[in-house]
Amino acid sequence: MPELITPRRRPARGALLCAAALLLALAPAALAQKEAPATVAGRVTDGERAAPGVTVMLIYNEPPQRFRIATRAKTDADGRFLLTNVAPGRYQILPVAPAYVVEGINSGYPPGRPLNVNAGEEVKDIDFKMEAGGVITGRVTDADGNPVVAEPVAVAPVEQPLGPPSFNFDQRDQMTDDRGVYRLYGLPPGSYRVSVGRADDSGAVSFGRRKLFRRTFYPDATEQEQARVVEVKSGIEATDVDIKVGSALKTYRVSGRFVTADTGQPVAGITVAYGTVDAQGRRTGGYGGGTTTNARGEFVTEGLAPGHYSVFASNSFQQQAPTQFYSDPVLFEVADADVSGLTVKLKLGATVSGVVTIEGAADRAAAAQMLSAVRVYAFVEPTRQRPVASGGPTRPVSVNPDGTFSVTGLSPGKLRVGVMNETVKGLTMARIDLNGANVAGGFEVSEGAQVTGLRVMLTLGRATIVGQTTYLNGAPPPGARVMAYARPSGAAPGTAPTPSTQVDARGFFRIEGVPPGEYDVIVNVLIFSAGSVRPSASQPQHVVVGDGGEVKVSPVVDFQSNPTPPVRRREP
Amino acid sequence: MKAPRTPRVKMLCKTPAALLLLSLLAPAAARAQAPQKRQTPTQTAAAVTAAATPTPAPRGALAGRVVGESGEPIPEVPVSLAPRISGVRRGGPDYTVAADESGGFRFEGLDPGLYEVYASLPGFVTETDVQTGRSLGPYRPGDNVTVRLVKGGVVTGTVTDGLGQPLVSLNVRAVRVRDLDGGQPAIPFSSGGGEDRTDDRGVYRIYGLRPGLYIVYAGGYLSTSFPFGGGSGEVATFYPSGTRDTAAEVAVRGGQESGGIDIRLRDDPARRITGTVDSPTGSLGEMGVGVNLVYASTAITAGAAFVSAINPGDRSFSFDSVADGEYDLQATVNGRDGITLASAPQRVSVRGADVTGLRLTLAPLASASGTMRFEPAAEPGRPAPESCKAVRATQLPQETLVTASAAAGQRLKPGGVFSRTSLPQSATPDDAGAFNVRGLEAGRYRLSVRLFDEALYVRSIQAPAPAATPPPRAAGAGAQRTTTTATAATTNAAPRDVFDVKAGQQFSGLVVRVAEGAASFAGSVAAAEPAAGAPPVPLPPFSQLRVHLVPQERERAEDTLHYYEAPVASDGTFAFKNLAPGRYLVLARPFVAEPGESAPRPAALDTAARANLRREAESANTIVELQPCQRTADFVLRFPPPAPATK
Repeated sequence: MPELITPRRRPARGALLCAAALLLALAPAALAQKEAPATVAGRVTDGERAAPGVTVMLIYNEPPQRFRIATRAKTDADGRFLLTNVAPGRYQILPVAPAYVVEGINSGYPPGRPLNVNAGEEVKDIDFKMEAGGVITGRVTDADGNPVVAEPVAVAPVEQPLGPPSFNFDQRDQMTDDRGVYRLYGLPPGSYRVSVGRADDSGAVSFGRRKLFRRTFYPDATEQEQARVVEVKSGIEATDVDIKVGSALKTYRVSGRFVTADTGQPVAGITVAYGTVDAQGRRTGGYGGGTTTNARGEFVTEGLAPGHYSVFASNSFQQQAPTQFYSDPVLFEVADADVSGLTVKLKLGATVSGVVTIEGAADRAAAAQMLSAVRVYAFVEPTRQRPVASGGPTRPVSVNPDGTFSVTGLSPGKLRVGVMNETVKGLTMARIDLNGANVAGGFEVSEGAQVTGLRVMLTLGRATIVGQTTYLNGAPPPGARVMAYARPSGAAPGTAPTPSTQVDARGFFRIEGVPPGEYDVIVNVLIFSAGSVRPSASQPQHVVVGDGGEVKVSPVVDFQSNPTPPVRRREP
Repeated sequence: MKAPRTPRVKMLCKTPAALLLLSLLAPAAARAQAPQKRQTPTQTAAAVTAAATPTPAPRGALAGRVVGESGEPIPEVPVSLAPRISGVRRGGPDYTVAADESGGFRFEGLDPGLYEVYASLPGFVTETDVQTGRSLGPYRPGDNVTVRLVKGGVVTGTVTDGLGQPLVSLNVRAVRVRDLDGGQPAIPFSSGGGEDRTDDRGVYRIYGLRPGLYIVYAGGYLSTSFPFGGGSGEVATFYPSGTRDTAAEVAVRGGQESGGIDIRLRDDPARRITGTVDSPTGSLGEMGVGVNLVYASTAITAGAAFVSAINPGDRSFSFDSVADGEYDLQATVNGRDGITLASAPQRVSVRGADVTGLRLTLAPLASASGTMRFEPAAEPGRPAPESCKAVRATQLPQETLVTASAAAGQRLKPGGVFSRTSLPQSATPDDAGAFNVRGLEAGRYRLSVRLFDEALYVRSIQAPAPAATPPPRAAGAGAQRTTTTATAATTNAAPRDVFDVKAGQQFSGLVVRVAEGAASFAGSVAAAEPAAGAPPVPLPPFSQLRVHLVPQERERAEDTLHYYEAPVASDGTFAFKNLAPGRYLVLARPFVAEPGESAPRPAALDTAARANLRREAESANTIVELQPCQRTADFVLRFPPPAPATK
């Protein structure tokens, strides 16, 4: 039976609301009340004035409709909005004003601020302060005065803030047009450097399509110190921020073959991937690729800029076919000529197979339905001997209706296995076993091994932990990230899956899909301020969760007490 | 990241060792390309198949240049090559090179086959065939390719809401619907377009557009997903301020800006369309099902949804921000070689309320398979004709294109439901000549063959007689080597290039006979000689003329396969290739296209039009005799044709 924690103190403002919530929980839970629609109201202001005509959007923040629009409303002449008919759940709320800087909202994903709504609530005072962003616009030309077309423009504040970037737009959208003209808007006031092109240490693998330029800052500087800083003020356009690039970087062609290590036979259909490395061969950035070897095992890639790379057989791209092979990466350098004759040796990878089970499903059919939504992935931890992991986690594989699965093409090493699903609420990994032993921390796989008997046990949690946080001696500033965790009682941090969720600005949170058991609930506040990251956390509160139903908690965060380190977290 | 390819295992060496040995001893062909050894054909299917298999050709090269509008070279442009397997270009090119300082490029190590070549330069478009609107390829190894890039046009304007406030970060799309002269592709598939997001002033700029007439729209499904901008969730508004039916067409010219294309977003109620996808076979393809909502009788997207194969528990789809109006809806599953499953396209009317509970049932599409046989110019026991001595074809079935298209023509009836599966489908035969055209909906089809070697012509296309059609094969295999039946092989049956396919049927038994010894015929149209003392007769514009070749013998009046027609270029020239040798009546005459149509349906395909054409051709009585391998380059064809001699 769920146990209620009686809160000791809370601000008077919320008292009535919390009492109402408590009463609701104590009363026999009628389905209608549980699902009663809520309303959300607030105000959007532009400096001192109201901001009329702004669309405020409420977006789902949980499967299966994640990031779809739930409802929207426009602010009236006084800047006020009212969203009605809101089902209880977890949302993101945002005013849509890309040309403005909205306090506490950045281009992070998901967009907007978290808002967790309980049944029948009248949520008020969800206010947004915004101010007009600044604009930087100009033209990019090459040494001959021709426009540089479709070139992404990067803008970076001179003072690097900690934490997530505070732009309200996606920088990848900012490209020059056919006249070489770009326009960046919605910029927070400050000092910026504007640049195009590729930095030497960018760690990006780029090939094929367009001309590459060396990173050049406004007006024509290749070194950051020589860049001219642009001052951005609210509502003001900084024009003629023109950039003149030098000649395009010469890029080169790389070619080679994939053959089996033992017989030297060429292998067709291998998906080729490249990674950027430093001079010692350590991975410095992401990886890319996707072409496949032809019938003679050959591959050709154009357009690689000078630098150090690795090439290897990939097992990670979403759209590739599963492969039996893995390869050790081959390191090479592109200096000032094409590179040919690379030979990458393929070895038969290890295979790990097993079965996924779901505990707590209504019946076999329901379990099979949920299993069809689950995918299994694996990755080998990089080690000193193999510092460049071959491409990252494997492409997730589907699970058969009976729960069996098989992951192939694994390189030897310490393997970690995980599951992902996008549609089923409340599915968490309870335990992962190999022939009886708990392998949540990974297990060794030798070269070409056939490992069977992996058991991945998922539980279906139906309970919800509904929380309302009290803040003492302070409050989380806008931009802070507040998370709530339900750590299984008695488990050491990092060993058991910990359902968690984001806490909204009101301190409300809902941890959904919690499997039955005993938990310690903690709220963790991460504040990004100049110079340091100061976590503050609540004292853990013990709850017992049954199969379904709601459990209420009221954590207290005291900003004056000693902070506790954050728990290792996983989204449910 | 480039899109990955599937593994393609090609076995080049099917020839028995004996043939290999013979090929080493055979004299080299005149072509600089790979020498091929051909066997004397025999009548049995197996031997014919073996004979058609060439010895493996050394890998070839494709070279060319990238040039601009005036022919000037454009340096250092990425040029990509994609093999045309089974007629469908795979996602993502296989091979990209950078053109050198003089715009030259070269692809090497290519297996025989057909390839598309395209260059990408932001702001520019690759020139396409004026008549068909399609790319100028495909090309074969050994070809020399000129890729011409022309500067695209620009459409720009401002998007505002009902109160005149600019809408920021809103997606605007331009869709090409017609050629600049008003001609419309017979199939209402949009032939290009572009998108842009508005900036803080509500201004958008879409560049790099192929010249043509465009409609421009914002909002609607373009704005219902992250990232969200102004106007998100509002219904689509077409320039200038209304629905698809009241949309104004914007003329876009290369290198020019069409400005002031302003859109005022309308405030009409937004509806939802929801439903589920059923798949009786259980398959949702490898990735999933695309569900497409288009404006009725067009190919203009009003909504795009996806049912993922990865989470098959949820097969629902929904379209938000849909305005009242008429739409066509269809679900399709794309395999590596084209559409494999599709639902029957249906009309959806949205009038004042959401439309829910729709069910789209996927069914497998049909296919048509057969073999292509090659026949040499020389008859067994007789030497090759004199005129063919210097010309030798290489028999490469994988360098031909077999296309199945709707026998009644492609025109969508006014108000008809648009179907993505009604488009012509093509396939390239394998090196043994077996082909399989997939992705066909039920209906009546005509098979046509495109040949790329000047020395070849299509002698006959034979569909099996309906009674003799072999039962559908259980497995949809690619190469079918022994489908030819005795019925199909008889040559005295009337050639039949039209056949009926039932839903999901794996139709087989098509036989295409390709022979060596094709003739070419080219020349120019000139004004008719005026009668003595009479003023010269003016020529109509060349774009309104077509040249026809009609088989002269009365017995061949219904031999539609050997009626040929060609457009007249702007300089008055015309050219025919891949002609069957024989006697032909030659005629130039004006054609009348349907209003809004860019190219007419070939006259030979319609019984009445063919009869008319024949009458006119016989009356003009200009006869040419084309010998095997003959290359005529300078024929002068008078228009109007001489009147029949009077007694």
